[in-house]
Amino acid sequence: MTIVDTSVFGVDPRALRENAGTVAGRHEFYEQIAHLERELTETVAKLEPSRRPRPPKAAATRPHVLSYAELERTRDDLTARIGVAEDLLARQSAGRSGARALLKRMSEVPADFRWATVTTKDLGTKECRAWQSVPVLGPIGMLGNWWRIRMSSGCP
Amino acid sequence: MSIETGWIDNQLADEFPELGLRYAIFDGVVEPTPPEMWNQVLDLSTRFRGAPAMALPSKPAPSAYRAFFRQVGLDPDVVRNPVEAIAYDRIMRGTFRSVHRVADALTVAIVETHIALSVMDADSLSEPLGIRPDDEGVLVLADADRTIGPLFGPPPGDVTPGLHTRRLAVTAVGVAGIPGWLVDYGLWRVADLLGVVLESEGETTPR
Repeated sequence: MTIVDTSVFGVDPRALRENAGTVAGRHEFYEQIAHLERELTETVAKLEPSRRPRPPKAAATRPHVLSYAELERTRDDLTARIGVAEDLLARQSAGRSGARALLKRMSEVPADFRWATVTTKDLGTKECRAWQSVPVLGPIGMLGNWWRIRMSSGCP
Repeated sequence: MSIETGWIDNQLADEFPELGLRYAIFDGVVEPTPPEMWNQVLDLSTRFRGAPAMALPSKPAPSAYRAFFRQVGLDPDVVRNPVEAIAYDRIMRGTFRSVHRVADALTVAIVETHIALSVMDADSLSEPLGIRPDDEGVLVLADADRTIGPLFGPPPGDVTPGLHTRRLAVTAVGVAGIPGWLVDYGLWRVADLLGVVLESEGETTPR
């Protein structure tokens, strides 16, 4: 698959193709690959470890000067992987927004969210804490529909 | 004892102008890790946990190696650069692997500087050292007479420091994005841990 994208460094891919045989043309490819690799690393770093995409199973190769086709394939592969990482990042952000909204509504009307739990992991923050809607005085609160939010004490 | 600049094949230098090799050769023997270095490895192991390991790919030197790996056809998540390989091993094993004094000095220096360092038996090599493509186009570390092994790969058995070793050759590979002084600092740190003082002669950029 060849992705034609003029947005990468504003370089016209047709010009790249024409210059591919030259050192200058290859250097442009190298710059693109380095730029995309940094972008991929930064995007993946924002993901929770459990959400990080696994690298594709590839046979271990040895370092060599890449041909034009290999350079193109490397660039396109990186672009595709950035796309996957960005999708995962968007899903992670949506999940965190949902958890924040749930916590806000739980705090306002705990009785509507019986036993619901939101953790700092859901919110994407570093502490270890959980908020849970629980009945006040146990069975009495359950019978009287009297609920409150209980916050855990933090990290063990 | 000084830091030398390795040669780079001309075509390779055109392709990767900032690829460089620096190395130092000095007296050193393989012996059990002394307690003070063992404590240093343990201390580093205690401080180096999951969070620093996860953040490693974003750091300047590992990030530069990752970019270079992509440019030469390696997937840095499959073939890890030295510091990421050590970090991965640390996370999997729960501690840094302690082998002997020389290997441990290399581990400490790599973890501290993030530079791609390797150590070999200097008497098995003939100077000067350099980087070139072999007959199959694979980028290799080479000496004056022969190919030593693939760049960034572990040194082959015949040049690995062992009980017969009397002199060590420590190499550091520099790539675009890594300042020359940092590459030299990696070599200096290994030598320092082994009780040797290195002088940096000539250029400090890795070319």
